[in-house]
Amino acid sequence: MHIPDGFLSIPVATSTYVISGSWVGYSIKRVREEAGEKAIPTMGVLAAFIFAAQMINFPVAGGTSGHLVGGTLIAILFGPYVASIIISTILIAQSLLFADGGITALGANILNMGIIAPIVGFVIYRALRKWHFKASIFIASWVSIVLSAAACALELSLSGTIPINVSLPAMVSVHALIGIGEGLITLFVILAIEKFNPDLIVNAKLHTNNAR
Amino acid sequence: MKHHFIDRYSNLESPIHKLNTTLKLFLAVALIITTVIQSQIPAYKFVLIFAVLLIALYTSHIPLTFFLKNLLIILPFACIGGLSILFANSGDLYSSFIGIKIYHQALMNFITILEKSIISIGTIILFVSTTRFDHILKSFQDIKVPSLIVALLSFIYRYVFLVIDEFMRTKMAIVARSSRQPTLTLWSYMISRSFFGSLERGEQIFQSMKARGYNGTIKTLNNENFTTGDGIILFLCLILYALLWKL
Repeated sequence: MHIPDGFLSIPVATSTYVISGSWVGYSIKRVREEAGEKAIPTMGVLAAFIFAAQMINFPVAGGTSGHLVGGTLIAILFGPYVASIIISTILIAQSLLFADGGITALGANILNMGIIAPIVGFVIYRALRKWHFKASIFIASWVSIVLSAAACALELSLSGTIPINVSLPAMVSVHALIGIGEGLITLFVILAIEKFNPDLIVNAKLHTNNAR
Repeated sequence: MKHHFIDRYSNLESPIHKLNTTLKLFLAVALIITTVIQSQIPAYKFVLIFAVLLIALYTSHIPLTFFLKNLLIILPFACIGGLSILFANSGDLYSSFIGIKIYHQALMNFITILEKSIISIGTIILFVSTTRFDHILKSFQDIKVPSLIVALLSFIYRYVFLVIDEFMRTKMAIVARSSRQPTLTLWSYMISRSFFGSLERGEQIFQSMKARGYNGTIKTLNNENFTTGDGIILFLCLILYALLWKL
């Protein structure tokens, strides 16, 4: 889902930079007000953990592979603002250190994985958690990945790079499978945190104004 | 901790390594933008830009094999999405093989995407290999990137090694006590144990940093000033980029 350089038109690249920059700026303001310095080491380890986890690819189908995005995982634990900041930082690091995702496409990549994924995941989780806790985590993660992929397809077609009738089915079908992996990993990690270190979730609640 | 897969050659001594980091960042981003915004890149222009990258690589003493190996590892990931462009139905028929038709315009579009990817990935590999990560962070700080983003970038760099070490330690401990292959449950224990271990050590490291005066500001031993040499390089590169734009 990391869009490389050269795939987006100037208007799409510029407008996604403006949207992403504005949201990340607002998120930083909110996190500074609500959590302050206390959250920095935890956010740092989370960012490093997701960064390392994103290096591990799991096989999907037809020779393709996927990896954890982690937006919903962080959003469930710490809220969408923290998730947006952490995923955006990871995307900056990936594009600068590994050329994974283009510098000119950074705005679009942040919009897809750092904004749409955590917000969608968080909203769905909040809506469904009273119905079924485990199912809500899995569904939220799965939908967040599929919608991010759809947004990516839309940006590519708006740029005139790949027609929507090609990009949308291709992106959504592959990411519907990747989303299963994302959902299972998110579920296992949150259940493990609940079992072994519930204090982290309690602290997360305090940090982010009752995120859960 | 012996991990150097991120900025392996950034400590070498060369004229490129000595350039001002903010200037290098500006020149790298400007080259990528100059390349990306062009609708078509003729072969001679691509060869010219790639030759500039290779000259910079030679000057920086970075092994060509390292550069090409990294380029070939990253390029397929960047171009996998471009395959759908190759098989798009546009323009005159160029070639047909076992029922797969490739059209002339689609082939041209795919080649352009490939050229842009090679140049942008090559530029990033060159930039990262010739710049220390703490200098990149200092440069971000100087150009007013939000301090929380800069702090998190520095923690990613510090803690990613911590997370890997913690995972390897947990894995070694589990494997040493078991003759069987790790099951799915064991893997989830390994991952969660290394996560909590990293959190504890991350908190300790942060407290130690604060005790030694860390206040969120990135400091480097040598403050990089913008020298006359940097100015000459900036002037020459701007002329080169303008030529690339106009050619």
